[in-house]
Amino acid sequence: MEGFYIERDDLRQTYVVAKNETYKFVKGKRFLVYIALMAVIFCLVTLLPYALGDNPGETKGEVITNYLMFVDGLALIAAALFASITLVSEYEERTALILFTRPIKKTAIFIGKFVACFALEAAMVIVYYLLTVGMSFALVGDVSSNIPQSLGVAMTYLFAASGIAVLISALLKKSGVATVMTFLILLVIIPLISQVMQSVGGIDTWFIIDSNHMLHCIPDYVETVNNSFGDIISEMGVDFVKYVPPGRSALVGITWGVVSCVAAWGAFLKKEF
Amino acid sequence: MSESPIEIIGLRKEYGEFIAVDGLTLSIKKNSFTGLLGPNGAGKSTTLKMLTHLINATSGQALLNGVDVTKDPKRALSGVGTIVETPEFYGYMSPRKTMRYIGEIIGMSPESVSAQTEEILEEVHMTKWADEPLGTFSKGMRQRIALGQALLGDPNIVILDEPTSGLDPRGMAEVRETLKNIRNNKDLTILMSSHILHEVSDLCDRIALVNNGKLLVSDTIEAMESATGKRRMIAKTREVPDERMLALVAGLDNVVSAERLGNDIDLTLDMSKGDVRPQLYSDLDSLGIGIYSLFENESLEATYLSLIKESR
Repeated sequence: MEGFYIERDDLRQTYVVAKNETYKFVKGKRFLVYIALMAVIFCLVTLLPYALGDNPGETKGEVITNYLMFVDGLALIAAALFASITLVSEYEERTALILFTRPIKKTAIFIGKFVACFALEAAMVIVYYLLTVGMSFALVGDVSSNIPQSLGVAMTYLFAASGIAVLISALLKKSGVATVMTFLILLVIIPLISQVMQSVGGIDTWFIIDSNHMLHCIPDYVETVNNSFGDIISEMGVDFVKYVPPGRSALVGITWGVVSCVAAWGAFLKKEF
Repeated sequence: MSESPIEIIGLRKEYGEFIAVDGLTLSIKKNSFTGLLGPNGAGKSTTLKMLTHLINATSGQALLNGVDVTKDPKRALSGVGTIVETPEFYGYMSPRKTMRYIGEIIGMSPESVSAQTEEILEEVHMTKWADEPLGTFSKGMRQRIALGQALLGDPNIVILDEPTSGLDPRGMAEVRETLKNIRNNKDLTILMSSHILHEVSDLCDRIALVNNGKLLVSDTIEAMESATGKRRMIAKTREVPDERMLALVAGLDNVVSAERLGNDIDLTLDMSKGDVRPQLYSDLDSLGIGIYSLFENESLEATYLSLIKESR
């Protein structure tokens, strides 16, 4: 079995694989579905308030709250739609019989595919952030200065989520099952574990990835949400949403991403046709 | 260049308790077209998948052009074209784009990919569909493209694992025809697994027979057929053969048995004294029982069955 050493030609092949993988996704139905979903969310957030006689936000905090409250879901869906099938589809659709029998290291295939998925997912999330920034300028003439750090946290969450999705992709045999499993793990299992550890064990689960952190690291968002739940908060004596330091959140995301990617790489090297 | 571009030494593959390939040792001669034969579960596909790095060997060596694929798969596969079973392509790509992608993977320049692609598409008779999406192709057409991509980059070894499996008769014929062209035109060492005996006898000049993950014999087809000392022939008669005719034929020199096979006579010849077929022709003629045609009846099948039976 090959070890982890990269030569110049491996990098060239990694680029070729990444280029083809990106092209494959862009030509696929999942990409269309994702773009449509993003467009629907953006249109609803923008137009629905007007239909109800209001607007999408009067302060920069309200604008980013309304628009970015869906970005965690978009990041999660992106990982589930793309990264979860990148490896398993090669086996399921038998295209591995062409690619894997060529003089190319599986490591180069793995990196190329992961980079392509992550870059595509990141590009789409960045587009949504840009739309939010654009709307914030259009509506209130200003934008929260914490948007870049939120985007940074979103990227690290996306890295972790993609790592987990690729690990599932390396372990399973069916693309559909891999997508559903990724959804379940990111949307239900990990938050559930975190919730149980907090409520039963009283443990601060700062070390578990949380898609909400890409919003909770924006003081404007935290303030807007807590203000909107003012009565409840004053009764409970706690904040509805707590500010999360973006640096720590980013570090947690990167750690989860690296660990899951290494595990996925090992599983992929061992996977046989 | 080695006289054996493919050299398998003590190759073994275990799945828990089950041993799929049991210390297989085999040399494939340069520029030969070798058929890897064996019953289902003999270890043919497992062996070829280890050779093409689709599965990892438990132990042993598989040298391609002198490089062990179990240790350095990238370098070992650099002069190798493969078709394992009936592979699939990215459906949105055309044959031309597929060739370009594979050419890029193996490090060919865009110019040489373009030039070779035209040649190869011509050779596999797919020029007409060069820019159509592969997703719209029949299985036979896709398999011809698979053959074409295996030849990209001028490999000196081509490994084929049941390349006609799953194809309809027309697809099979097309792929076989292409393989014949490749065999005639290229300076290649080809190793092909198949369980279609007439395909192997039609295409291959050598055979390696495996069973239970071990090599039984590796030789030329001629040598293998004569190794058993027997050969089966079919004699066509003007009239339906009766018991008298069968008895007459069975009584001829070097005829081991003569049985009715539909409207024909199925003869088993003893070849231990050499090629007795010329004598048989004249003996049958002299019997005057209206035999008008004589041909071999899947002698490879008889040899195959005999060797497999012995190995059980």
